[in-house]
Amino acid sequence: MSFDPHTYAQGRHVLVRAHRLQRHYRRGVETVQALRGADLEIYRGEYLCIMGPSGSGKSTFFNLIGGLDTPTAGRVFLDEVDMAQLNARELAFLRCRKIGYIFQTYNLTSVMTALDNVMLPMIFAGVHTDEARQRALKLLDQVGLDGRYFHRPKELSGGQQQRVAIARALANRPALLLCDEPTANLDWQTGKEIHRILHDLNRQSGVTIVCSTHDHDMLAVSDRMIWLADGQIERIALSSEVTLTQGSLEARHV
Amino acid sequence: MTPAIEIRAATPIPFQRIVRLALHAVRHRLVRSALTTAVVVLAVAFFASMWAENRLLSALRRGVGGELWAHRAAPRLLSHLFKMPGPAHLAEQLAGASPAYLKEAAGLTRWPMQRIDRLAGQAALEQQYSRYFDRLPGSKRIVLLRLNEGPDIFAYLASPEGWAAFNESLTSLPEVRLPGGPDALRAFLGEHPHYTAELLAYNAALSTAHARLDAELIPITGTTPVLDWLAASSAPQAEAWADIVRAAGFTLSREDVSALQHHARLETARLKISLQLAEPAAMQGWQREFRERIDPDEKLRVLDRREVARLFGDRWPAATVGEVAREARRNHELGRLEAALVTDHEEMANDGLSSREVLLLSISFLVCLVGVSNAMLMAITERFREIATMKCLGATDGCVLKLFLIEATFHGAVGGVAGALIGLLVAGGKAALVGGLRTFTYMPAAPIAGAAVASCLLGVLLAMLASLYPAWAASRMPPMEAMRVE
Repeated sequence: MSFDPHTYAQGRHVLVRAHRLQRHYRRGVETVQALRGADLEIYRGEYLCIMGPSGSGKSTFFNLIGGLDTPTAGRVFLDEVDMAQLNARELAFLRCRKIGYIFQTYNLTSVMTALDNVMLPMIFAGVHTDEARQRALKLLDQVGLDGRYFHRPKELSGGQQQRVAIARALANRPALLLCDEPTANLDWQTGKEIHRILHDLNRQSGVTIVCSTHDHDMLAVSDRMIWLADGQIERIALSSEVTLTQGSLEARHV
Repeated sequence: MTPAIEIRAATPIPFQRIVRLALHAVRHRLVRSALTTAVVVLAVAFFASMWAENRLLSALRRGVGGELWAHRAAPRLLSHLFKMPGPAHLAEQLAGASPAYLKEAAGLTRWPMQRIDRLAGQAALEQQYSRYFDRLPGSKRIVLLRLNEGPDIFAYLASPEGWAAFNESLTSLPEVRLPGGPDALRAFLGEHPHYTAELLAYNAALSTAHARLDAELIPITGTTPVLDWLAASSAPQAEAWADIVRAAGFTLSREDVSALQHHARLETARLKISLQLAEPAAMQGWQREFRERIDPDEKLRVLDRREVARLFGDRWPAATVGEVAREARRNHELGRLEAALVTDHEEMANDGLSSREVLLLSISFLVCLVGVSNAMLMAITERFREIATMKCLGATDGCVLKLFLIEATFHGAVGGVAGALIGLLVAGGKAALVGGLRTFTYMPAAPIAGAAVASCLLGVLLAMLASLYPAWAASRMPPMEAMRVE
């Protein structure tokens, strides 16, 4: 319970800064206030979890940080650059080289092999085909899929598809990795493997990871955790100092 | 201190890589591609078949006309040389005459070319007016022209009462328009007496010329009719004969002379064979098929080789009879084909498409555009996740647009080629139904190749046009759609 932001920020460099973010949606007559003012600083090299119940604005906040959505009020700064000021081509550049995305539904191209899928972002980055292929092979080895380079997504299990997605997200060596509920469609065992892969990546290559998740097991591998409720950040804490409980079943004493 | 993230605009990826991505998508979605392509194939095949059939039939018409003309050249020349039509027919001949015919007429009569041309022009005008009067509704004609038929109409109209009555009723005849208006007719009527006199003079000059020619030829041919003489003469004899004819003003080449001889031989044989075929006494030995046909020309056409040997035996060599029969068949066929092309297939056998055809084509193009557009929109709706994910991976709007345009262009190209092939085959089949194998001997290479190329390009154009809106819609897909969970 003793999370001191100042101590935590010592020696760390801010990567993403959210400043008084608000997001409203107009649904016909009424306005839905998805996010009512959130401030956050995400530091380089850290592994951050965004958690909260459904309808808390978790996905909205996540999309705003990742540059996929524009806020109705407030700003998002990526390395002190206001994302709202960037034009479409600059955003495309960002998404290609500086930010990697991982989706709940994996979103692999079903007509391409695993290798082609990992090579795809490198095509958009203008990398030479041979170099791209070498890098893709290495990445697939790194996530533990050596031998399955030429399998199509329908020939891979959910966990394997997510690993291909991770390799694809890392293809252009991004500074920031955004994961939207990466283990939601996976079973517990496979989910733990994914967590381990992400943890290793974070420690070895220093890529900043931001995950929006319902999975409590993520706490074991992440550094910091943010709890959202009702469109606002309710609590920021170190993952190690937090235990989340759901309602428990106690055996009735007979 | 880690370096700051540099942000710059994304550089467009080379076109070749986009093409490779697009073709990859097509290659692995063959069934969906096939459906889109099929729509293009239908529209292009319709266009190609219409265009090609049009070209094939008009080429056939020209070819058949040429063949018939060549076949009719000899008898026409002979009739020009030796047959004297009456003044009315003379006028008809002059009115529709070719420049070569007029030149021969000038040579024969020894009149200057301008005089002949002027006469021919007047004759053409007279024919025009005759046709105009023929086309007037019957009741009006009786009232107007006092039942006068033929050239007397002009004499009547030249009189003041006649002209007044005609002019008055002109306003009540809107259906058939007077060529050139009443002023031109007035001018013609003024010239008419001079024209009639000229025509008579021409008639006289022509008769004199024919008599002179006959006299010059008698030392060579004697009193034998020209056809029989030509049929029996040798080549040097015919050449000597031709020299005299040339001196009279006709153009006769060596081939023309041998063609004349060939025609004369066949024609004399045909006449005599036809006479024999019409003899009732000879009918007993004949097949029922012969007996049922009355016309000797029809009998000629159904002559069979074995029948020939049996019937004519030693009276005629079988080869000659066979040749005559073949000629008769050929001319009959050509004549029927020409008539069919001019009347039944008139729209198709004219160069250029009629407005009805253009309307049908426009509708088919519209259907194609809508169909391809629809298919693409469906495909994009199904692939929304893929498109949004590509944007998350760094694809620009322009890249996505180009991707779908190239996909569509590929479908269009394949559809265009297939449609061109199918259309040409269909056109060939339909034209062959009309003209038989002869159609392909007259097939014009360049226009057909042009039709093929135009059809392929049309396929590409249709597909590209149809894909404009869907590709634009795809390029506007927000990357956030990739996050959607259904």
